Amino acid sequence: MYPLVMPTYYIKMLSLFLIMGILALSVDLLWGYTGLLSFGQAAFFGLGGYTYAITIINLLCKVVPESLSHYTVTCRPGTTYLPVMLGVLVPAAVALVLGYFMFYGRVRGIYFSIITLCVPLILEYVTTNMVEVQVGNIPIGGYNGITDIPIPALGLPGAAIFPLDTALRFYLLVVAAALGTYLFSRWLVQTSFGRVLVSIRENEGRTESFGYDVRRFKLWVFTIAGAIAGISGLLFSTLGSYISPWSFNFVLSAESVIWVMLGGRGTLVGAFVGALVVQLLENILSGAFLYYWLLILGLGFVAMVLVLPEGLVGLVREWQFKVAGRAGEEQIAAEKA
Amino acid sequence: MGSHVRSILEVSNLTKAFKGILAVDGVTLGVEPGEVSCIIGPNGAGKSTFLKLIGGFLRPTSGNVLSDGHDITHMLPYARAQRGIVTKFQVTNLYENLTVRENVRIPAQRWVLTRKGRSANRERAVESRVSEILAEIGLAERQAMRASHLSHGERQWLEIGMVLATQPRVMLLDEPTAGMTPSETRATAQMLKRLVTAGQTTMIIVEHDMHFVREIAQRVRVMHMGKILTEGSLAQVEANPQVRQVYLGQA
Repeated sequence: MYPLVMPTYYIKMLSLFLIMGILALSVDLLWGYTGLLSFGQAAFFGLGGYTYAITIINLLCKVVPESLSHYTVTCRPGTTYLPVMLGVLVPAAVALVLGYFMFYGRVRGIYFSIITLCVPLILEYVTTNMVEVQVGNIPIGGYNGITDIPIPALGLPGAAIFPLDTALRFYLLVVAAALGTYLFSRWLVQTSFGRVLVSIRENEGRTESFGYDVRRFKLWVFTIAGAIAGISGLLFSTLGSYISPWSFNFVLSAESVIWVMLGGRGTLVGAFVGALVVQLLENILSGAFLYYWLLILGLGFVAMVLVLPEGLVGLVREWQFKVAGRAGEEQIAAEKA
Repeated sequence: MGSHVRSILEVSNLTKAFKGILAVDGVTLGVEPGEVSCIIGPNGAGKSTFLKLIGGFLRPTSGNVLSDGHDITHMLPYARAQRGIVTKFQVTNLYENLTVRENVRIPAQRWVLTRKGRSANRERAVESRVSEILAEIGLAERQAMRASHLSHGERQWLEIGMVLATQPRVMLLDEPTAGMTPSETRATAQMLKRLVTAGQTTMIIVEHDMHFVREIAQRVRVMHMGKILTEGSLAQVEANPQVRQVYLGQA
């Protein structure tokens, strides 16, 4: 309930942490559960944001150019179901096509990571160079990206519209999205499909020898992770009403891997914990140590990986195992007595 | 006209060369349903390579492998496993970080989930199948233990259990008793014999332990330098002077 009485700035910060947590969740599904270390989730994050922005502005807004890089966007009220749907489906479709060529082309291990590293880099270059390109009525804007992206709105098309136009309303939408993607992922990893993903992570060749077409499983989870990263991206583009080629940046991909590593790989909740803790630390440290905060943060990452290789959630789980083990030993001792 | 039993597996002129060296050299054979066939021979005879060619883990240089008359020569291992041809490797190949139960569950669910029916019923069927297998291989009490914590013999049994869990039509077993104590070897032979008696599966077993071969084999094939030197009952094979010279005489 705390966000209900929080200043807007903090509500937006919390929204941002959760949005990045959703991105990290997609990394955890791939890396934590399937053993696919993807450095390319920013590609789907950016695609989700750009798709949402382009679709919603074309559907609801009038764009009046003022100069080469400036324009005014005037939007009418309307529901945003289609842009949201496309913001999820387009990254998923791109992941499906990319994944098909990688997995059916037998790309594995480090080669998979390198390809996924290249894709967001390419997209970043392409969007940066799209200075004069216009999709429908909206200029892609090159390095400046797309601005004045309308916020999502719920309701019935042509009838009641409920725009999520306050920080708190938008925060509640982000919470719902984070909870939805988390619960979906939790359900997924507990199904037979999820167990096969874990077996692929543990011993891919053995899983294949039992009759599983591992390429198909990897393709599906890559597509699902692409869709989840897309959700994160479209929410991000509405948080600041802005999307730019930065959203494809390698740093974002690498950071999302770090969040998962520090939060706890293969735990799902660790993705959110890692994203929250790291971003909170970034905020605190950058305020306290203007020049050295990145150095301190970097050293902190190295220390945490060395001390807590299983991540923060992994540490808690280890502690729970120990407590449960001790309780079990005491019970056995009591039964023997 | 004599009765003709169609082979469940036919191999014709199968050859595998590694940099010009023939590891398997034009092997032709047929395996009948329910047959337990042991392949023996000295080290480097090409036995394990032959098994990997049937399992699809190596691509042959030439020749064909047919399953129920269908050419599976170029099928990937997963597709062969879907046809019921499943391999137990010489070196145990487990999910080391998963529990014993989870190790059996992965192959078991592959078999059960291909059946039709309500998802809850199928989940129950998987769990029940896993429990059956764990009881069969004597690891029910170890089910919560990580696979990496098992003894060598138990690891071999778990590996056999994992193959069994797929309900295979043809089991390819590469030295299933390697590293086992004599009592573990006897227990393994008894377990496999129970399966054969129940008419559940056909087996092709590569094995060095002649006590085990004597216990289980219906047909013995001797491989030497990539070729099938001879085949028949164990008595016929043991009586063959060539076999005594290249293999049995060495023991």
